[in-house]
Amino acid sequence: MLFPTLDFLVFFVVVAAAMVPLRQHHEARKLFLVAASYFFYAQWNWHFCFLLGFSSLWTYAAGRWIAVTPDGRKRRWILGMAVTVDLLLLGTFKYFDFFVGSVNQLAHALGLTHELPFVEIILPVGISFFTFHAISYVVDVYRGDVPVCRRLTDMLLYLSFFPQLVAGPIVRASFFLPQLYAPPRTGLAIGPPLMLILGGLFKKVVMANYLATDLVDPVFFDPASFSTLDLLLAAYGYAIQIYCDFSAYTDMAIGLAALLGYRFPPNFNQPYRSQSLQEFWRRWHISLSSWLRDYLYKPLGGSRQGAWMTRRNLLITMLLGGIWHGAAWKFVAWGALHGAGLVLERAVLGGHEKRSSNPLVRVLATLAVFHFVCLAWVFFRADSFDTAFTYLRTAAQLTPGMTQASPFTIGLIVLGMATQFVPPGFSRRLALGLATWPDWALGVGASMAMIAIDAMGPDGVAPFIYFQF
Amino acid sequence: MQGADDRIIATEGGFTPRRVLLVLAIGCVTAAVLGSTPLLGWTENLPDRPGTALIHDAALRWHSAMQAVGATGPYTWVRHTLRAVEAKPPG
Repeated sequence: MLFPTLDFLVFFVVVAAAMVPLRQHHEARKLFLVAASYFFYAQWNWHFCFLLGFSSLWTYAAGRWIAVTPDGRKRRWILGMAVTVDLLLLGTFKYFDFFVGSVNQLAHALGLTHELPFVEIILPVGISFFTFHAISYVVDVYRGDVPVCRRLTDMLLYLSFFPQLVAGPIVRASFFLPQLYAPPRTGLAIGPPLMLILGGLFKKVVMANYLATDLVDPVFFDPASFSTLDLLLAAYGYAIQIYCDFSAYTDMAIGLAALLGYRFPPNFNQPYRSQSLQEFWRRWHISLSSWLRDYLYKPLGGSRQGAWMTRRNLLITMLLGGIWHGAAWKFVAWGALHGAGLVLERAVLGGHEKRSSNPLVRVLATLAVFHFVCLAWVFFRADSFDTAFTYLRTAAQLTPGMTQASPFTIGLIVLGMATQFVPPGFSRRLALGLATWPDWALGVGASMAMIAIDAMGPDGVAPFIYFQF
Repeated sequence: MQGADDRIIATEGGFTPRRVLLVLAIGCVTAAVLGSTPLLGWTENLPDRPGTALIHDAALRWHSAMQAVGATGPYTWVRHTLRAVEAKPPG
């Protein structure tokens, strides 16, 4: 059940209707939201509801156990066991066949004939997200950063809440659980969440889908058949497509949660205006990059143990961040490129980012970062290493002409880039304007916008890119 | 378009579950009037269950009625206009 579908609209209207009589019944409200979230998840594959339920129960029990254990060594042991089980689940469902395939390739290269059998495990949608939720909770309880969750309903809802269940944002327990301990906040405006949802719909249905079907997919399918300009524009197009696709999902998730009275943290902040890679990672998939920083980079030692250890920690963090996206070596390469870029940037700029006062230097820095990010996206998007290298080799041949990119797709790229440079207060001003609209105008206006977006979009709805992660 | 800012969501404005439902209900009625074309398409793709044919027939009659009063015009116009822009040749 994808957000930009009528099925989801019907589902959400039923949930919103149930919130009215349940308004004064806080516990019943949360129980209903758990049931609705499991129903939502079951639309993909109901068998995996048991996996989600097990993960929630295990995380809840581990948190309670850590909280009642005074002995430091035993607490560490429980934490280690809790995280190991979470990672084993993730590893089994997401990486087992990748591991088997890699071992078989190595064995083949060494001349061995025996092969390990593939199991062909179906990847549960959203497993990377709810596993990271679970790990952050037990680690935060261990560190004392979040009080232990005493109600099982709260833990079930924290891990399964449908707006963020399948593609984030990764909401920390310290951010979300306190919202469940009191009745949801009311008194906010309805217009701004609607604005986020409609903006997300436009980015996904119109921008991401057209860029994919009209430019990116054909070019990446057979890069050797295209000119240098087509290849360059397809790389730009993919940069905008993946931004529009993923930020659309999280904008809609934030808006939907807000309509139910809950807040999620922001996940994107105009990433392609960054003047350094460090800045890019503070603006792109913020909930993942801050998770990796707090639960991997810092525990590894962060930047406290000298230059070499900092470089090692950066590389490990980015490599694991890469493989989090998918069980394939191309994601490892993507992570390695970003890791190497961050290490190089630190070596050149030192530990502290220096923003130049010269506008020309700032423009050049933004262009350099954007093109480096696009280069890394080529590996991320290509079906294989072979395709990625063919892509780059063909682009370097400087073949003239343009056969695939059209004025329409170039317009979408320009529009996508323009959104990166809108003044930060623009959305806030728009939201304040919408907050004054009467209910009937919001309903009619939002509906008209939604129908217009549907009319503009291509037939059918492609799944969100991040569902596969 | 530039991504969710927490301050956008935090705008004050008298939110209650009843008001959210009211806005959604008004939106659904408007969508039913202006969006009878995608509504009909949706019923055509519903899984084959008891009652599906009834829903589809109702959607078909509703779509015909909306066509008769000209309510499907804006949807068709937007669709054709964007398709025309999209069809401009590359290069």
